[in-house]
Amino acid sequence: MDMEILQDYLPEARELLEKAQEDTLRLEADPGNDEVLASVFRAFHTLKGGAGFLDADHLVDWTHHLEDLLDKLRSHSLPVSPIMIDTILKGLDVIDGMLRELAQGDNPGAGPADLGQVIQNLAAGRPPAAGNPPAAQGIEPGVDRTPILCTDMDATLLARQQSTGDGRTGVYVERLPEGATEHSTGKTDEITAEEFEATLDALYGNKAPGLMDSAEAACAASDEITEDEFEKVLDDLYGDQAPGIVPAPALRHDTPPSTVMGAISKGGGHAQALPGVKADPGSTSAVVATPPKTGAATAPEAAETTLRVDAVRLDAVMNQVGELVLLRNRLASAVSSLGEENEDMARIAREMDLTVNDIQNTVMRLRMQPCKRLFQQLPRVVRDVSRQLGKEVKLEIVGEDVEIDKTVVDALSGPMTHLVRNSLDHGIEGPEERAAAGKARTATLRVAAIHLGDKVRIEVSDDGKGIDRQFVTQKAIDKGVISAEQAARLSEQEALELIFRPGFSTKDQATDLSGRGVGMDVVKETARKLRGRLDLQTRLGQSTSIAMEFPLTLAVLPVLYLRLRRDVYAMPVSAIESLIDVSETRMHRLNGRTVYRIDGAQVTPVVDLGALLHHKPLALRSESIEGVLTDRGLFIVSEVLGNEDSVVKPIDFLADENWYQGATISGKGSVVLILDPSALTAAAIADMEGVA
Amino acid sequence: MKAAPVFESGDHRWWILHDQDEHRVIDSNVYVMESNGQSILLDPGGFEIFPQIFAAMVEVVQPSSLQAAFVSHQDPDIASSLPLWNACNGKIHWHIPKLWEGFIRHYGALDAHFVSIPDEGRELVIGGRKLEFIPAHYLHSSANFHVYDPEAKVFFSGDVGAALLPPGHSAWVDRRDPESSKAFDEHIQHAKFFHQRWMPSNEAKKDWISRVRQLDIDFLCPQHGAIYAGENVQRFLHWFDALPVGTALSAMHA
Amino acid sequence: MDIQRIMAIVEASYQTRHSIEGALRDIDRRALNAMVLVKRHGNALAGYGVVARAFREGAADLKEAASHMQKSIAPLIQAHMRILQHRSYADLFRRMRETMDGAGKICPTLGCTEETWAQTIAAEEAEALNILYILIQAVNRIQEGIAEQEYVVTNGRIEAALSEDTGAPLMRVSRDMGNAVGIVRDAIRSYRNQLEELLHESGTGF
Repeated sequence: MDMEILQDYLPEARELLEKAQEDTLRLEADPGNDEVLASVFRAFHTLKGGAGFLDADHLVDWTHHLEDLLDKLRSHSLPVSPIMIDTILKGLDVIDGMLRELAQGDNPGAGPADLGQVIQNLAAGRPPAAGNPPAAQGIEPGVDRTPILCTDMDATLLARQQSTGDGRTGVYVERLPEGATEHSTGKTDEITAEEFEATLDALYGNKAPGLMDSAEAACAASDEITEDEFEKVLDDLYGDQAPGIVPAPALRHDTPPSTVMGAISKGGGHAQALPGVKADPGSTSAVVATPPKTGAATAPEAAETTLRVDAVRLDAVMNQVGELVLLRNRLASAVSSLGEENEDMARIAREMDLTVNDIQNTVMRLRMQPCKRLFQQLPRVVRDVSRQLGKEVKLEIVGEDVEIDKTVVDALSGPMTHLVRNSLDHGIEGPEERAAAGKARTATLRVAAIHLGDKVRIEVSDDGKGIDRQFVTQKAIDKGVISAEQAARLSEQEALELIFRPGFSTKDQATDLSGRGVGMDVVKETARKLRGRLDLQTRLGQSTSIAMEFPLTLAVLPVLYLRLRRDVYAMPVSAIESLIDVSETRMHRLNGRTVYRIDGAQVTPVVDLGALLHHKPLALRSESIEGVLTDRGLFIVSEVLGNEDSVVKPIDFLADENWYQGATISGKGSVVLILDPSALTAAAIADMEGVA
Repeated sequence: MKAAPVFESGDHRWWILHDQDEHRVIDSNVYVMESNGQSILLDPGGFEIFPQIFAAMVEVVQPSSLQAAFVSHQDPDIASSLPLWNACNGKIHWHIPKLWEGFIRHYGALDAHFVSIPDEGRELVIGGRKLEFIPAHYLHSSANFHVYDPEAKVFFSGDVGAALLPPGHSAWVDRRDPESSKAFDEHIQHAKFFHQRWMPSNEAKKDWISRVRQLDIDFLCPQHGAIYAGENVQRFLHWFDALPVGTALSAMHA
Repeated sequence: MDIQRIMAIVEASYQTRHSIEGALRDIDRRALNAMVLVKRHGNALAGYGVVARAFREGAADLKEAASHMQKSIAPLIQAHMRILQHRSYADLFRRMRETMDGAGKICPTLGCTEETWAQTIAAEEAEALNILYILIQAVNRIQEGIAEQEYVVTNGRIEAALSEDTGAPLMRVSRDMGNAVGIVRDAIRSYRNQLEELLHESGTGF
């Protein structure tokens, strides 16, 4: 298998697959949409082409059948039916599996025979009966010197990629005389105009406007490529911007009489001015070389400036910036200890500080990805699950464009699916139940990403039946998650949050929906690992909303350094509400817990770090103390030292409590543990109750 | 001279002023107890070290809070600064063993406000907190008192527990390893001669130990040397119990 | 010099130091609070971040200046107590001489000793005056620091007004900062007045 081709093929194939799934779901609502039909067709076709190159014969077969089916739908020789949509979606799942196998370096095995048969039968216009599918043909789209044929009756239009004089890759198109085909398989399976168009798609993306028409034109019945045909090809490749319009001084190619070679960079390159190309109407061949116009109609500039970079390299840059940040901190610390007499150094340190901040921001943005990637799987999940459960659900997606760190996007895919499934399974009622409760039959499930300062909030909310605190508490007691005595002491919110405890599941039998090894505890743990926080809001009979808040970036962590007696710890700034002067008169004992009255009626649990980390409470009256107010509780420490933008280093030697988010290196060069406020608050509360 | 906290709980504090800069006179500790904005000085020290004692004290307690001073006995290292304190603050009440009043006036404070302590001792309330004057006669002075703060569990022991330490010494007998008696054993070498020679009566000693053993003491604070905390308090009482005193007599008769 | 004047200075030094210590801690905490607030809002409050940082640096400078002041207070008090102590010697010899004079006996050695003490005390008073100058200089530095902090606070108010739409309670933060600085300013101003009175009396004392 050609690994280089594979590396190019896989990401594109995944994008095509995702697009196809999205389109297929759209078809369900809008079965007659030709544009969407064509798009799905093209996706299968292109997938097939690439698979041929990789000698992934089973993938070729599979996509071929799907392509076949779509071809019929596209030409309206068959109507789109719900069973077809289901079948196509299932077929897409099979492709997904095959791509996974490819990614692992395996040549995919055959798809499930029964489903394959169903697809073929549907394509043949008959429900699940036997049919003899036509043999799949390996069709190679034009990549790397492999020619493809565009045949029309008796002429062949050959397109291939070929190196140009300046080292770039160009596309070479020529009409071959009859019989002069170089078809690698030597078979007479003709490539249609659509195939050629799909080939161009594979090469240039599939968004060029009017591509289909022109491709058909390009394969016109004539032996010759007419000026019109050629112009059309050019138009399609360039969009509306004909090469002649582009100012041309950049390239000074000698134009061969019958060919024009231009520059194209593989996988999308720079905008490159081309000389005006004047096709010779009488010539039998022409070569067109263009910069690719992926998505030319929508965002040509974006396309031209996009670069695919290996995530590993980005991670490497990120780590190096992390080291730079730490060094910056140490420099700042060293310079500040020099004193005032060193104005010059102080100024350099300040400028360095700003520059590193800029680099940090820029690199951070490199890693940002839109939440669309996170959300795009959800329509399918909602469709399948709601159908299975017989519920009517409308999915609302908000904030697809909101960007967040790639790590978050990657890690959250499982938990997001689980949250949505959970909502469908436990939150949303069936239509009759809803109607009986005076609600609309169709429930609304809302998934949203919201940008909040240096955080992104991701919410999954529904207008279902809410979570019953008593029910949850009783379940938790039954499952042995907590004791009845502990349960009695829980606040309302704490009782609800029992659903995040390991070992808790409100369904008595694990349905296949809540299976897959992802539970609410995993959602919580994932959020914790990503330094996020989880927030659960519910109104009985009305709604449930589970929100996760994540820092925009995981690369840099602003921390507050604090001192506990002689030890220094760090706490993420994101968790801190404010720093307060602790007043003894505001400390109260309430239900066996020590709480602090912030203002008016608002009280928060007191987390004595001395008691937790030193097993010796901080003596309010004889030791210096300061308070750090977090959204979880008031942390009592000896002194707050200052803040710093820091970099997290993972720690793996602490097997005991998960009280730390990691470690960092302070400006003074020492290793400092980063506290996890919510874990510590939980521990403090457990401690107090143990004593009570 | 340095000020260091001995005990602190809210508005109730004990301080030690120690490690004086003048070495031609015996090194002495001065203690201050503050409660509720009122304070008392314990064994205010000699005339020569008064300026540094005063400067160190006003770092930690508000000068106007000083209500009273306690003088355990008549020695100059304890009471000769009396006229200077009196000049600074004529309102200070001086709690003095009744037996020594006429002697102490010789330091030059004829107009100072003296409050006598009878032989059996008595109590005093400062800022709402009770202090007990514990009789310690013949240890070493013939009319001599120690001070106990039952709330802070601080025991001011005057010359008992005194050690002659080199300049720059710590305020505490090393307490980093409370399980081990090593630090105590080293320290007590510097206390041995002082107790054998300046303490005249084994009988007085036994009587004192039996009474003091009934008190709950966290900090035993001598006027010379370093503070005994925690385990070291019992170690000291045990050591002192076993130590024969009044050695000058036995040396003469040997 | 009147011992009561000295005692008033001793008292004022204690008071000033304590109120400044508390207020400086307060300023530092407020500066940190502002920085935390800024950090939590990402780039939206970058402008206020500069203010918060300057405020915190100012707080550190003030702390440093206050510790310089502190270092001069104890020597000043000690010097005056030394003078008090030596005056009592001088008084002793003066009284003895007066008693002898009254008895019609002249003792030149006694007069000589009295003279020696007077010289010693004069030298010590000069030393005390010198320390007082240094102390006033240290107070001056604190006052400069306060002026800078007040400038930062004013900038903070402007920035707060500019970033009002972010919803961060910057106006309140700025006001709190201003109040904390005000406490130090007032305490140090009244302390300076007392020191200058002492300086005035010391100057006319010679």
